[in-house]
Amino acid sequence: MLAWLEAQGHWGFITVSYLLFFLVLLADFLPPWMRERRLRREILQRLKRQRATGKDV
Amino acid sequence: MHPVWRWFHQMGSPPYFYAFSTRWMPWFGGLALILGAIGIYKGLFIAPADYLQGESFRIIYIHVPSAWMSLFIYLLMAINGAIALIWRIKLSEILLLSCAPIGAMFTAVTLLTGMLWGKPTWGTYWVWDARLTSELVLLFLYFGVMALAAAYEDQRQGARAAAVLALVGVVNIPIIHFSVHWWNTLHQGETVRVFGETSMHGSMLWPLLIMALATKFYFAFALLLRARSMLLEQERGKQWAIEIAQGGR
Amino acid sequence: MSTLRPYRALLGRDLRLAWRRRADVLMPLAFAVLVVLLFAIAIGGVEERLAPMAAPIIWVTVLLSGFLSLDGMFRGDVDDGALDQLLAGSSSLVGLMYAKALAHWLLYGVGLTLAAPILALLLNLPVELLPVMLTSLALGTLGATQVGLIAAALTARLRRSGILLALIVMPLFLPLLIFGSGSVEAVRFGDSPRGALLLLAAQSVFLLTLAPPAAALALRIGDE
Repeated sequence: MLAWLEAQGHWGFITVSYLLFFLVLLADFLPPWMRERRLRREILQRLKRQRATGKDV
Repeated sequence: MHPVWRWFHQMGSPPYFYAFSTRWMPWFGGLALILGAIGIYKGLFIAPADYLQGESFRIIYIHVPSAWMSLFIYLLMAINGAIALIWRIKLSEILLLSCAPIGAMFTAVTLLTGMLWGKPTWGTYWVWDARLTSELVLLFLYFGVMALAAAYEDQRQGARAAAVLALVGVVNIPIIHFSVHWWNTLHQGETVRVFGETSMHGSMLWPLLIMALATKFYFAFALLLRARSMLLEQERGKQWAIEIAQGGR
Repeated sequence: MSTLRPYRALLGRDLRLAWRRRADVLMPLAFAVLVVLLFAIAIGGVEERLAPMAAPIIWVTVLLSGFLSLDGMFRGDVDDGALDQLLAGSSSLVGLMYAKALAHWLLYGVGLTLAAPILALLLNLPVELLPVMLTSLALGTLGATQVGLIAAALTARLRRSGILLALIVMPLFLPLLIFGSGSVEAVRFGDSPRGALLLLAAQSVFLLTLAPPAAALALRIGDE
């Protein structure tokens, strides 16, 4: 696989670098983003359960 | 009360911070995207190829801003650590914990792009030059802070322990840089340098500065995202958190 | 001076405890010899190949062996409640940290430095390098103990984790390693080791001023 990359010349390395950068950025910001959305859903669910069971935790 | 102090004080209140992040995150994210697009476009297509290195030098537009961020974020993390230890401000603890993974990410990018730059330019993926070696050590400094904070059951204790480590780390970073540079000149001589000529042509410099700014805005965006998420998690039972979840903002 | 009594008492206690468990203190030394054995065998036992790498191998081995002793620095005190007593007492915690570090350095820093000639023999270190080797180890372990003190204090009440300790300690060992092994390499190439040794001493002194307060702070955090 590396041999293929090296055969692509300079632009191959450039493309991989920039792609890697975006991927790492995505890997950095997606998890917290998803976590926050999940958290908000959980808070709402807990609220619904509280109301349904009459203010029981 | 002086307006700046008042602002800091207000930030300490979780709902205020959350509202602040809601307001500013789109701006920071948007600016990061726009500036990043401009910087990358100029870097890839407008800037002329380097006469010594050819096209591969364009990786610099990711590599150098990431390197700058990796150091800047550590410094910011340490400052938050100092604030957390001296004034016991909870928000600083959260900011410190949020800085670490982002900084580690930029350090990793610096290392990876450094390797991808090295191969077409100098023939090897890895060379023990001063910058790459220092960045590798920095990556472990970040991992240490993250691992230490995670090892504690109590998140606040973990953040404060991590703060001590971050401060110890930050005063050692210049020492580590100096010692690695000293070591490098000893073993490989002054001739091996990652950067060739020291002066850069204007059209080569602009994309660099634009990317540096873009990464800063991304960092601000990512920091607010992580910090507010952590804050929401901690305060999930409180009224304001419930209102946020309902209001959807 | 009677005002130093609590610190001398802690130093004495640590040394006496170590004496009672002398076998434990000798473990890092045994480990060092084992590591050297592994290297020598892997390299092939040929003198021409061992001798140039002897100094760096010895330096790394000493750091790794010293690292092994770090987990035990506060563990005994945590387990038997002595740490809580120290934290609650009226003596300066920073002063107590100096006492603790001194005990550790005498046992493991000086200990490993004294064992170094054995390692040097096994690795065919050129004899003329031995004085600078020992000097650099004595100065370097002084700083390494301080680094270990910080790491041990930060992890004192946590579950035993060697990896976490290693992660904290290794980056901070680096300048010591660079100047320490660099000083021996300098002599090997005919230069004066003075520059490297002075930088090494400076780093150790810097750590001596930074580490005990940082360790004291770390212990107080763990106590909250």
